[in-house]
Amino acid sequence: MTYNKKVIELPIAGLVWTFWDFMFLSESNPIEDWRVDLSDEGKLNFNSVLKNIRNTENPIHWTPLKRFLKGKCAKYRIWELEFKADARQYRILGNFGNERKQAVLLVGCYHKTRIYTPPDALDSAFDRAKWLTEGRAKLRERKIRTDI
Amino acid sequence: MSERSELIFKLRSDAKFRASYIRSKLNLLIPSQLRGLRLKGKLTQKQLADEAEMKQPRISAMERPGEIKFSLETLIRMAAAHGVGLVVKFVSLSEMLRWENQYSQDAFHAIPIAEDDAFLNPSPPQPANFAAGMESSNQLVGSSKKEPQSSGGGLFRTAAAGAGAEMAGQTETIGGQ
Repeated sequence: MTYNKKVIELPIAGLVWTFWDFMFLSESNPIEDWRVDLSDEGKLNFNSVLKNIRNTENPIHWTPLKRFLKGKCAKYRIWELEFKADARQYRILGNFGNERKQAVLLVGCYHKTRIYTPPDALDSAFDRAKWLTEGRAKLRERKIRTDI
Repeated sequence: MSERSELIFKLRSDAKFRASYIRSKLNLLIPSQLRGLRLKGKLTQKQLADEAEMKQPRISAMERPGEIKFSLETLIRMAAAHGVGLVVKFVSLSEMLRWENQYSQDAFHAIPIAEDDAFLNPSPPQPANFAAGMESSNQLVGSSKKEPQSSGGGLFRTAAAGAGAEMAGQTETIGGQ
C-alpha cells in the first residue's frame, strides 16, 4: 500500500521584515545620521513606517511604498518609501538584502516636485547598493521602537 | 536624556506634539486598513471608487500615507462601500501604541455584511440579567459558597452564565489589579 504524502509548507509564523542600515566600512551610518537630524515628528513617522510594513509579506502591498525605481537603479531593485511630516515629503530609498525578508535602507532624503534633497540621492542609492554587493560596505540592523 | 525620555517629556507637556504623535500613527494605519480591506475584498481601486461614488485617484490618495486629511464622513463612506462598520473611540496613548504594534495589514480583516452571520442571523438572546441568574444559582448551591472578593474595582462575571447549577458561583475576575 502506498501513501501519497503531501507536504504542506506552512508560512513561517512570526517572521517579519527586518531592516538594515547601510554602513560604510568606516562604521559611519548615513541612515542614522539622517534620522537624528529629522524633527520629532519626522522621527515618529519614520519609525511608524517601518513598524507598519514589517508585517506585510508582499512589498508590493507596503502602504508607504511609492515605487520601484527605474533606469539604472532597477538593477538592484531599489524601492522608494514615502512619508510626510512637518508638511514635507520624506523618502527612504532601499532594496532587498540577501536574507529572507531583509530590507536594506540605503538613503534617506527629502522630495519636492521631482527634486530630491540631497540631489544625488538616487545615485547614492545605486552606488551603495553596488558597494554592498561588492563587499565594500556593510549592514547594521535597525531596531524598530515599539515603546513609543 | 535618551530619545524616548525626550519624546515622553514633550508628549506630556505639549498638546501640539501629542497631535503630531497621534497623526504619525493614524496617517499610516488608516490608509493601511483601507488598502487591506480593498485587497481582501479583491477589488480594484476603480471598482471601489464606483461603489463609494468617488473618483479612482481619490481612492489611490486615501491609500497613501499622509496624502489626504480624512474627515469622519469620508471614513463613513469608505466603511459603507466596504460593507463594514466603523468604530471611532478615544483611548489611552498606550492602547493606541499597542494597536499600532500589533497591527498587520495582512492579518487585518473586517467581515463584510454579506458574510457577517452574527449580524444577519443573530443567535437567540441569552438570559438578559446574568446578575439575577447568578443570584438564583448561588441559592441552588447553597449560601455557604464563598464569593471571591473584587480587587481594585474589578468586574465579576460567571464563567458559564446559565450553564447549569454545578457551574454556578464560579467567577472570573476581569480587569483586576
